[in-house]
Amino acid sequence: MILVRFLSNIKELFDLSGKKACVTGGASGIGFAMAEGLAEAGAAVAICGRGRHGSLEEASSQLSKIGPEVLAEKCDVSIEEEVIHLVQTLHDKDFIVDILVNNAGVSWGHDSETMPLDRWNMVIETNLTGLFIVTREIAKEFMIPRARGSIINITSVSGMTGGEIGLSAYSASKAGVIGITKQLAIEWASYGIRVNAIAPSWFPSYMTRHFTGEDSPYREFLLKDSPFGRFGKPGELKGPVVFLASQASSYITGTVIPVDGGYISK
Amino acid sequence: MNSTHVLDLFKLTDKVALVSGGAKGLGTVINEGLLEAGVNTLIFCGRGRHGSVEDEQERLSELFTNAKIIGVQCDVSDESQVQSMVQKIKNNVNQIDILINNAGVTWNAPTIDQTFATWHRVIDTNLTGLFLLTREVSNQLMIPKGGGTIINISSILAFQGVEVGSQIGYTASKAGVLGLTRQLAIEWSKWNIRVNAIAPSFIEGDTMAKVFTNEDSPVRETLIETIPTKRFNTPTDLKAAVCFLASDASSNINGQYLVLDGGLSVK
Repeated sequence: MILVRFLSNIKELFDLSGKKACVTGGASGIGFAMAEGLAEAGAAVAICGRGRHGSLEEASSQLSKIGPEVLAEKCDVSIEEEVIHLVQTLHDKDFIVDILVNNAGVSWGHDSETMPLDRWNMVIETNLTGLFIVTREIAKEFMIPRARGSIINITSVSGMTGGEIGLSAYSASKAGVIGITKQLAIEWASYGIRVNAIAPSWFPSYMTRHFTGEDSPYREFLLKDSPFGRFGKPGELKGPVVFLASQASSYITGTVIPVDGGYISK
Repeated sequence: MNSTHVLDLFKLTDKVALVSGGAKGLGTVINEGLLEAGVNTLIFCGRGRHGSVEDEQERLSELFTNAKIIGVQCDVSDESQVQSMVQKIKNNVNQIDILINNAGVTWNAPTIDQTFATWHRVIDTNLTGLFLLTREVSNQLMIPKGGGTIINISSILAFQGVEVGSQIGYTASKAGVLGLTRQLAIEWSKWNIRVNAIAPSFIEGDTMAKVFTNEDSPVRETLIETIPTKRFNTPTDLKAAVCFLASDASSNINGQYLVLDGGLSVK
């Protein structure tokens, strides 16, 4: 059987032991869930965040119970100096990043016809420019010199479809993330770096509280719009992020995986 | 927060899987992946030419002594054979949690040379056969049992044309598979059935693509040059993707296709 020589065991394919992962916006929400998933799969995890909506210390102490090594650094990804400082700190602590999860994101729901420019800029600066800066610095410092790495960008189904709710800056930033994902997948393939994206639909979190919360006027409408009749559970992002981070996806690059219960197929 | 350990999410313990086109080629790789991930019973079917069903049954039984392995002869393009197979599975096993629609054939020829017969040969297996098997398995076993997960093997030819190696029936059927995937994902979400697809480019060792991928193929190196990662899929790439979509690790992924192409279709 000629095929046998290619096979490696399925269990080892998803294992991240010995790998180091950096998750931006990793102190709360889906970022924390993904950091948990990576730690459970055996990776050392560095989380960074602005420290506004989830305490970095609290998140770090929870992750320490799971993974082999945890770092927590304060960083606003939209500020270039802070990102450069973060990467320098990781370098100094010998935290050689193999896996980057670009999860940090903000949103501002507003009717587009009256959306203020400063709110638009705030969203674009974090979700798109911040992602670019972090990716550039991490790739340059850790991944390109070692010719390896897996970058996972968190986009959104809002980057792929329109919606009734006024999320134009968010949608534009997330569609931009898909553009970066595809460009870097090709540009950096020769460096052995894979670049993919995950596109969640609605997951309850601090960021989505105005839409998914129990008292939200949008809640019933959004649930009705979901084929499974429910929102995503944060744990449901663990599998996809570990899949894309691991050797199990070693031939997958430039792709977007919606985790949306069928939302965009409708 | 989901309390299941992330690596346990990928396990298929106690599940029963059915793989079509499982007697030969890449189907055998999928069989192995599902068994490694812990399925309790693996059922595979194939047209069974040259004793291939018996051979695969024997091979798997030696490798995986703890699982129940059942090989069935069945041509998925024949409605009565499909109905009879699913009825037998219902009578004897009464469970299918995972269906992998992998059975496929192709016919290479410039489109102007394709006949009604060569077109139908491909469409009848790749598209109609997939519909028949999916309908029967869902109706007889998944819907009554409260759910399941279905994985359809498509191809990157569903998205793009090629200069050489035209196989029009294959291309049309594989694009059709994606349409069916999206429709069933929505239509059957109320039955707790997830339906997804995998769209691979060339896979090493795929007997159907050997004229392109064999070591001595005159086009092998040229093709590899076009791929950003400078290699073809390995069989392991395919089985990992199948196990991901078959498992609870992908529990909120529905109606999607996973592209396995080293970035080829992104370029």
